[in-house]
Amino acid sequence: MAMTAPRTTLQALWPTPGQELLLRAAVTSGRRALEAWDAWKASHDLIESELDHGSFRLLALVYKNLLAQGADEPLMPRLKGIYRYWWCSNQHLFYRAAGVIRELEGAGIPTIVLKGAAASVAYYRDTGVRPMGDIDLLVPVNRAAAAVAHLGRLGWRPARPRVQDLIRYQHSVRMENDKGEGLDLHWHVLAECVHRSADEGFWKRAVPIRILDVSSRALGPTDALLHAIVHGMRWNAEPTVRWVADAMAILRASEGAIDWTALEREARRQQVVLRLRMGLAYLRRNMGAPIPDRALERLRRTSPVGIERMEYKVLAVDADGQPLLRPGHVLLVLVQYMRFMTGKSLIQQIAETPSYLRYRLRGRRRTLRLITSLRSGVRRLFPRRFLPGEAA
Amino acid sequence: MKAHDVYRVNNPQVIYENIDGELILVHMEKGAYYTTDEVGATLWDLIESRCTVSEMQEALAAQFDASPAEIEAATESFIELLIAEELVLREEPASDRAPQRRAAPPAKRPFRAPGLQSYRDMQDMLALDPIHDVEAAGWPAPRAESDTSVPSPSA
Repeated sequence: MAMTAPRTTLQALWPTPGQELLLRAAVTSGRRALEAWDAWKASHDLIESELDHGSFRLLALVYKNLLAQGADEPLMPRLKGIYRYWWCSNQHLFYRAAGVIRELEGAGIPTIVLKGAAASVAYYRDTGVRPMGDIDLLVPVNRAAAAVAHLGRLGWRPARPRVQDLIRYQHSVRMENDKGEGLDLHWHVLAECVHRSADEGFWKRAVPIRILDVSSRALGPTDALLHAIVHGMRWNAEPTVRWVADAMAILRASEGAIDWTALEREARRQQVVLRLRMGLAYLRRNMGAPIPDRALERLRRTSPVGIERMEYKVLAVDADGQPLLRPGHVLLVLVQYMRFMTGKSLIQQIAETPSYLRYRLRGRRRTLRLITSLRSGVRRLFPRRFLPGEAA
Repeated sequence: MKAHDVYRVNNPQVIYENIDGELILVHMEKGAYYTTDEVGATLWDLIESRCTVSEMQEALAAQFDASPAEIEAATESFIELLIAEELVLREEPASDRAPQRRAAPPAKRPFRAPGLQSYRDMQDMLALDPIHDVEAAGWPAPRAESDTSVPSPSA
């Protein structure tokens, strides 16, 4: 599969015209879906064209939707084969996930299944239409270290060192086993929101699901919609256009269950109003999503905070494919720093800054020496209770 | 095999899905993939509903155009295949089990004894590009000139 040609602007956050046609063929109904498929075929050959990975990963859903629309399509056997392929591939992941969930829950560590596996079971209600590369599990942030340790006893190792730092500053870590299998262990739902109370609402509103014969949870429909849009709307080398399909599946399966007021409230709390608003507007305008006017109007009236506006400018900072460090990267680090400090008192911010910088600049020796000196100074200036590791 | 025997799906190792009339199954521990046709899929549904062998044969006779002898032989040989592949297990019927009755369809369909096509190494099958390395019939049927290490299906 070929990668999508880099686009140099924020356009890179959105589906290309070809991806959009495939998305319509995958998620709309009736003539709209069939016309989109015909239009896609007019400019692409399933076998001869080099498909980008995002488009390739939509084909199983396209198959199921064309089947539901009664399409008379000679490529159906090949599309059905793609569905079979992803169904089989996904079953391996579900089987592995079920074992891990059983172990964690058995050890008293609650789990929420995130992303593809949860969307497949709770919203698509079909385990073959949503290709998955791995399984994403969320555990409470105060049980993250215990989860890593427990998984370690089962042969899973974090792919990155210094897990305590990751738990403090990041939202997840990739775990790997000797067979080369992977699992993404999360302790925060959103990469942007890594403060300790960020996920309390998500846990309260989670809904029960079963992964094969094992019980776990998925985000409730309102939170799942927020997560699909906010997580999907950031540039990635592998096009993440499936957020559109995921969001449509959540909207369709949850008709009447989306709490639009709670959605706006949570977006404000997590400071992701801008992306949510743009994502919802796209879904309604381009996919005919059933989103009420009042929900969009309410979000339009909610002013995004400054950090969101800055963040939006750098969401696609790497989309031009250049490996060079640019001002956008500096702004990105600044945004991440500001997000990490969200909700902390001024004293806590001052106290935690050296440790944060030390974490971010690890491996850059000269800068680190400077930061270490700064940290020692802060330790002398402030009581221990404000220092990293002590402060909640 | 006795008329009142009941079988159950070998859960959770066996996972299955009916895609537009075609049943696909995977045995997770063996890493094997299986597919069967309409009659096989119908029998699988009956097994899943905990029907006895004789109830399965009655249901098939009501839905398909075949002699009782054909149906009896096909049912028994298909169930034996499923047992040999550890896809189903025999179980004791509960004493309070109610007989399973199903509404007959308006017209009988042509009957063909069900087969079970199997692919023994799913990891190899998943290494195929499901667009370019397969026949027009779609994955998992490998294209004739694709990697010869990929095993052919066995019926």
